[in-house]
Amino acid sequence: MVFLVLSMVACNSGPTLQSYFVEKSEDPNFISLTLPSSILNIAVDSLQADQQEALATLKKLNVLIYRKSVNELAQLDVESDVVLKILSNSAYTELMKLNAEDYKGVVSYLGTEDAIKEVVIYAKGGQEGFVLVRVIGDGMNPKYLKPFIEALQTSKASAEDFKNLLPDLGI
Amino acid sequence: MKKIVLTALLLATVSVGFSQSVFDKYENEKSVSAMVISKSMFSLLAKFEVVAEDKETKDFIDIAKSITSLKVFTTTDKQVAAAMSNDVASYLKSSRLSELMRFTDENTQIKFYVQEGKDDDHVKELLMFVSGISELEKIDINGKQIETVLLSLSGDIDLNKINALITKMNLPQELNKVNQKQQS
Repeated sequence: MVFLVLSMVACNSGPTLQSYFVEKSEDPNFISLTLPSSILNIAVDSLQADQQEALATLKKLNVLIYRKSVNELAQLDVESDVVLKILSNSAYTELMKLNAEDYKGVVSYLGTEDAIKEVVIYAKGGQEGFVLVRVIGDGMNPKYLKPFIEALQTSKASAEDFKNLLPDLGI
Repeated sequence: MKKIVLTALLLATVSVGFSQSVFDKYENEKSVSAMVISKSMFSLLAKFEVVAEDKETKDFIDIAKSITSLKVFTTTDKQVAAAMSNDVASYLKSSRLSELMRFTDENTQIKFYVQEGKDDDHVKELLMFVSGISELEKIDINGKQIETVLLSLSGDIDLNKINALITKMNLPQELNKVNQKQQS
């Protein structure tokens, strides 16, 4: 019974970030990418223990890019509002919010402070569009930030690897 | 009777909501640059610095742990600046803030308001209102001059450690003046 009520509440709470990503991956106005952590091309064996631990907490990046097309002036604000509404959902802990003229940024996370499941970064650039990034992990912890950055520095990934992943953006 | 209770209840919620959100509208105002940093962010920031070797980092960790909210609003729009000034005035009436000090330097005015904390060094809330910077210092941000800065800091804040916060987070230097009176 409790489960039934819970699932009903869940259904009524509107779109989740996950369902939004799934829905928009089909939408031609959006570019959707999944970057596995393996793309970083890091020789894990040569890392120190804490760097390995830190790296292991990162699973993948989900990226969604919306670029405004000429005939859809209002749509940008509509989509942007949908995302902001999902993010204002109480499950997300808001870390910071920036706003300057048309530029907007929000950083939130899901999980607990010492075991972060997901970091969500939303950035809207003027009237051009917005980018939504989900850094999905398992037990990401702020104490791992430093070893993580150290591990990143050993990355052998080149800009070319990322370019190959991107569909033709017309940039 | 029920009506009165209901009205009172409604008024109470409205006033509570209002006192918390008098500046919230500036978060989405186009002519205002806003930065809002939550308690969770500070608590994460404090954990990023795993080893605190220097005093500044130690101070920063201490102060980051004690902050519950930081909001900085900057505007170059004169009308918005005037509205902000009005909001500050009405906020001061409804809150327990008292003026700590003010500096007037030609065209720039810096005012500090605080709600006292557990001792002389600590405050529960700090509000800094700077107006008219552009005429004096010509600070340039994207080719625009800053007119007015409103900064609000809440928590259990040790004023002696505020310098570490300013440096680490790139906050307006004017905030440092909060310590001038104590040092002199």
